Amino acid sequence: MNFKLTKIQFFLMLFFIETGVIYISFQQGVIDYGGRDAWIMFGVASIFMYLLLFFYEKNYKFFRLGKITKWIYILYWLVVIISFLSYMQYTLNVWIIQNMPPFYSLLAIVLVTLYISLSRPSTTVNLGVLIIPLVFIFIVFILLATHELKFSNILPIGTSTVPQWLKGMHYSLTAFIGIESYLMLRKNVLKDEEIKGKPILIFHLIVSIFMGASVIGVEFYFMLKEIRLIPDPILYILKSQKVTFVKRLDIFFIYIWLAWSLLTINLFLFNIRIALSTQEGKNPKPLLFIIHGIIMIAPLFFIGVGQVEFIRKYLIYLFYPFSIILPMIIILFNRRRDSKCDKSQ
Amino acid sequence: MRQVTIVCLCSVLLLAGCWDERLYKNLSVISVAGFEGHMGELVSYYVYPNSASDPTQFTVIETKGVSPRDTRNKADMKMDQTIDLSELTVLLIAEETAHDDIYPYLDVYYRNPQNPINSKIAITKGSPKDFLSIKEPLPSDVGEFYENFIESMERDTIFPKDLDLQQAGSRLFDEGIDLAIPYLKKDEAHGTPIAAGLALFNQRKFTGTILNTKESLLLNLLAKGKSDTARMTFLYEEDDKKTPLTIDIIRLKKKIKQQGNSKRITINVKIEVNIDEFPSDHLGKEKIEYQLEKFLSKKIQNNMNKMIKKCQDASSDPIGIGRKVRAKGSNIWKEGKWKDTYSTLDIQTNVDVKIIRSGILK
Repeated sequence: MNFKLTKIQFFLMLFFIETGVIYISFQQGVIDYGGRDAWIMFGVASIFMYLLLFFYEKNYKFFRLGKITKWIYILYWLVVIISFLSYMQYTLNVWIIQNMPPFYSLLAIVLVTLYISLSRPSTTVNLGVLIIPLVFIFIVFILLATHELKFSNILPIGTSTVPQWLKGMHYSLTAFIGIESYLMLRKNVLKDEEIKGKPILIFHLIVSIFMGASVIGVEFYFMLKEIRLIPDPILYILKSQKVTFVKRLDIFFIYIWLAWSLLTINLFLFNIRIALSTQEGKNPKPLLFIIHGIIMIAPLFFIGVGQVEFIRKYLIYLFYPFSIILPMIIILFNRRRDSKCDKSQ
Repeated sequence: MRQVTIVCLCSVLLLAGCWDERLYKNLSVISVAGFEGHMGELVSYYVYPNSASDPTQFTVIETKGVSPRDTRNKADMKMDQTIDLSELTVLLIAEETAHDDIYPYLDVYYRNPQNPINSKIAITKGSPKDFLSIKEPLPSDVGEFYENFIESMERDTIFPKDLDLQQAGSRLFDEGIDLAIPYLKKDEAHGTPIAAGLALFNQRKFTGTILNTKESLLLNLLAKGKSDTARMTFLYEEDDKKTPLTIDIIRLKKKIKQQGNSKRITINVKIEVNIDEFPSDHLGKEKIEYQLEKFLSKKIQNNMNKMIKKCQDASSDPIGIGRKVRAKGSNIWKEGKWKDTYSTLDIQTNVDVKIIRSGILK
């Protein structure tokens, strides 16, 4: 698959991979498990993620997927997509479409993703531009709740215990699911574009502040005991806002979130497309149809509250092997192999 | 082009109908609801307009059931349309019901996404039914009337500003601050509601203590500050002559201080006021101004201290002193035991009133 990315397109794609589906809900896990200091835990976790990005940038040339690793990653991204679609479907069923059979809403979602997947790469690359204004509208309306924030909710600082810190930081990583896409996309960035140093730092600061502000905002809005009962705090905040032009602000924003999440799903599918395109001489289209068939059917088995809670609790454990350990192994292996080849030459 | 055609054709299937359409003609839109009794023997009241053309004419549906959801299901059985609470503006809870843990009664409102959580909430003296049978002609539908009524009191700083179901729910989970919910009495002659003050809660239960409107105003000033207006009237004595003195608060600054880890809490309050009513006049004179400021500071301080004592006696912390103490990381804050400490605190106010305007007369 032949395509080139500018610096802005590259970072925009990464931004939408990391945000999107999880944006309305990840705060609950971080705060529930982390306690009052959850916002600091998120800050510390984002510093670790910066170091990871730094590592990625230094070694992205060595991240080459072999036959096995390619299918391992495709499987991982499929699991992420199925989990995200299950969660999206559950959220839609709970908040808006209680009676609509999940099959039809999933069909509508998957048809859109199939169309994008079969289109030229530039469709996926530039789709984010359409979503940016919607994200801004989303944020502006969340800011309506500013007068209801209780700033003392985060005080006193330093009350969380060591186990709370470990769990809080662990669940903070949810905000960075998909960060390994950096390694998939980086090679396609135009050669003369400067990524190292300041650009990465600015990008990571934007993501961290964007997600971190939602964590601290939710902490300001809800009591610690209250947040345990609210799985989608951002939607709940929107629901509690009173505006004159619409009765239920949350419905309006669930559709914005849906479009935003669709983009995230497509970017994960784009990773799969890149991985599949490494098979020389083979047309990836039949495989894409099969993959869309899988993501159409599989989420239907995970749309109960128990399964969704399972996904919310355990999906993050896949972050360690697929975003940290496996990339490190692949990079170290290829570095070693390359240096051996150099020596033998 | 072929792909677009396929997608368009498939999309047509989705246009066949909507499973989740909710047509107005099939719904009875409820603007006010109320309940009394206890879980297991609950009585709910739902008010809906008789006709779309004249929303001031309404019918009250009364049902008995084991829980709020059960009573609503039973109300559905009494009507030709389905009850819809998506436009609920006010929820009235009977005083006797509020003595129970009120969260179980409100759970259905928080859990169901179709129920609004920005509805107002109030405690009624006696049955909510009495508050729904208003004899006087209303300017608007009963829901709008109650909403405007409560909001008007909020603007006057008598009811807490922006207290809705969500804000109330939040406080039910916060040990550092308690709820103080608008308390309504009924004008027996006209059947109209009267704002009687605030019902004090200890965590999730009504304590039985009610602050009158004057105390409510002081409480709101200390808890959230002034809303649009905050007026107080006193009788000022000079030379054996009593003169009415009404002030309108322009600005209020407060600071809650705790000395170290001691049980002494001082609330420093600085108030800038406009004189709204003072028939004795001559406010331009420095001596009179000084005397009035001294009088007002002392009077407001005493009233505030009495109001705080009343809250402490009821084990209710609607000012949120607990939040301040917790935020400071003080040793006297102990999770789960704050209320025992709170009742024994020595809380004193220190009020300093400054007259900065005297209206268009001196």
